[in-house]
Amino acid sequence: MLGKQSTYISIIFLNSLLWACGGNDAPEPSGPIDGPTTNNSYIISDTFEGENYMVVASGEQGFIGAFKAELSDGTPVQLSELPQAWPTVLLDETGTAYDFLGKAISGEREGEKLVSMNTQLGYYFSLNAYYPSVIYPNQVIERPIVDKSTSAWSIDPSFVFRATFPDAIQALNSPAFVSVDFKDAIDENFFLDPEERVLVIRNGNEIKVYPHRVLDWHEIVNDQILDDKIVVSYCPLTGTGSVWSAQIGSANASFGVSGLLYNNNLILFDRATSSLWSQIGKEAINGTLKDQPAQEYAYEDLKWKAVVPLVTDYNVKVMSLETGLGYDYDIYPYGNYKNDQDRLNLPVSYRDKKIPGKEIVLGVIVNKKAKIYRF
Amino acid sequence: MTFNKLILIGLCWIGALTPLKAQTCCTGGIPLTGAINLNPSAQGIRAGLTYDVNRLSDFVQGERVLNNSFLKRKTSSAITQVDFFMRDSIGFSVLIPYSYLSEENTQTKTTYKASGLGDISVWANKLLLNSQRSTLAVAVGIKLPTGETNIKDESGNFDLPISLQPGTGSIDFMLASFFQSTFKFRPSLSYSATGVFKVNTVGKRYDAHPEYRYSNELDFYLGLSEQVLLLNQLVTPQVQLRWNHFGEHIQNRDENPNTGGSWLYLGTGFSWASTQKLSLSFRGQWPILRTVNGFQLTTTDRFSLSAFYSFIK
Repeated sequence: MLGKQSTYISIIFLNSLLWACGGNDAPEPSGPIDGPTTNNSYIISDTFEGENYMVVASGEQGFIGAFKAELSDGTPVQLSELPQAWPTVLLDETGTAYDFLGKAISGEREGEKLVSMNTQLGYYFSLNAYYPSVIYPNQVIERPIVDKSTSAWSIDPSFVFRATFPDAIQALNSPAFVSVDFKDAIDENFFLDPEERVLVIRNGNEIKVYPHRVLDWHEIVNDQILDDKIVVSYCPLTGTGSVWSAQIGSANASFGVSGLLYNNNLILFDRATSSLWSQIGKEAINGTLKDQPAQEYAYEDLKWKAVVPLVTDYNVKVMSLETGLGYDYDIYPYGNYKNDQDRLNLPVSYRDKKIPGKEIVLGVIVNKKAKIYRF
Repeated sequence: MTFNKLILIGLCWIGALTPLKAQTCCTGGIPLTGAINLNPSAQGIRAGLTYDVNRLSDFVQGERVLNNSFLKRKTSSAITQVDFFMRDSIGFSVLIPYSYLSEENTQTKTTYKASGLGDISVWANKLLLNSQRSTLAVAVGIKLPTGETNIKDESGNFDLPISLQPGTGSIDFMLASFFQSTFKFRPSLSYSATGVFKVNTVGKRYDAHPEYRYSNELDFYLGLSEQVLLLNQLVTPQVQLRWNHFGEHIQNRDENPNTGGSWLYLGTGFSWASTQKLSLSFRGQWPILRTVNGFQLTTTDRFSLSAFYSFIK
């Protein structure tokens, strides 16, 4: 008990020290390196494809996000770093403080929200294969770009492979959740480890938490938060998450795991039209809905301990490990896959080794190009 | 006899002592070694047909069976076998499988199917001992990549998963030994031991897995059979223990973590020789212990029915 409480005391009261020690400069990439970087923390202002934004990274919390310097109502703001205060990370010119979800949690703009950039967190190789990219600060990746889309596919189908049949990996539908209070969250026997990664979504005062270790096995969760029907997905082979609105047209769709992979990345299918959807591409790539974009829903991908400070202010629910399907979620289903930087299960259309393949990076996506940020 | 037994034990365990460092599965569940006859005792030809059904619906994580049988895979194989018994107790066998593979998702009520010629294997057998009470034989075999490995799914765009491909695309080698003897106190009661070691090589024909290699595989059988007269017919009921072991398959130079393991099966069945030329047999097999690597859909039960006709001089 004491050990875990000490951990959270560190998170809440000593995080300021860790944050401050992280420094303000993003790490400088310099060609191929030995291993993944995981522990740098920084806040930087940057520009990509004409977009201005701030990148906030905390290696300690496993978090990287990017926000435009404007509120959702279009009001421009002057953002600056707010160290020593996780989960609060940014401060504007009025003294309003914003948490890592971009929500103003104190000050005269309390309740407002910053505009998030279009981003994708995941293994470097997956963004490297999917997007023409640059690595911060401006290390251009010389990547041949050849459009091999067809009338049936909006991506190159020669890098689509069938790993298994549709629904052989079982998507979860409206799984059980466990409400968590602060006492639970810091309990030594609580089922989440402080360091384990989770997907987090918020709607109003409700936060839902999806542990990676369950998503590793099921990849898709058809769920809802308050009144919003959503589809949460996580691809264990590319380390990428996504949350989309389940509404397609006028109806709510249910999604399943197609068993197909594109550049090793999950391809979902909707049960209404059987169209295929690229998780990283965030659009239908084959079928009657081809080229239709997914309606994205904001989420974060970070360590559980980063969420714990929110437990006192939000109604936090964690997806239960009791799915009724019998899996032991303590077991990672892919052996040494995520630690072997070179290993890929299937061929990819492009790959360089400027960064270790399984290093978790943030891609800021603008005009179908990515700028890569490392911890 | 003691010397022969020592030879037998030695032959059976040659394979076991050989390092089983990585390769692949048992020809996609298609039987290869179970139908082999290592008992050439007279000159002539014997031809037969075996129909083997391997049903896989148990999801096992390590040693734990999940209460979640939503997938049912079935591998049915019709195996044509011709045995040539030559002089000097030497024989050759050819096994030609044709497989019907299916995978059913009971939740979505969808079934995927494939069928095709499997991998043909050729065996050379040598009878080392054929006394009144005992038989000892050894065999070497080669499995040829005649089976299809690139059957497409319904869309015609993508190869089906490896589990639904009838072939492995590899040339594999087998070493086997067989020993059978009767008990002195009861000549109608006999025991047998068979060891088979299969060395698999890299198959190069999987579209997405240009270097897929099934693991080396070890099979060891211990059997007990009794000849009884039933309605004036000679019937031989049998019980058998089978220990099967293979390691993780290699996929593009990396180990596939959800392949390989150890299985102990209990088998039973009977054979019936209506005449000296015609014989029929039926066998069933059920896992009683298993430890799999990672998470696997694995055998629930397995049945085979065989009919052989001999053209022995």
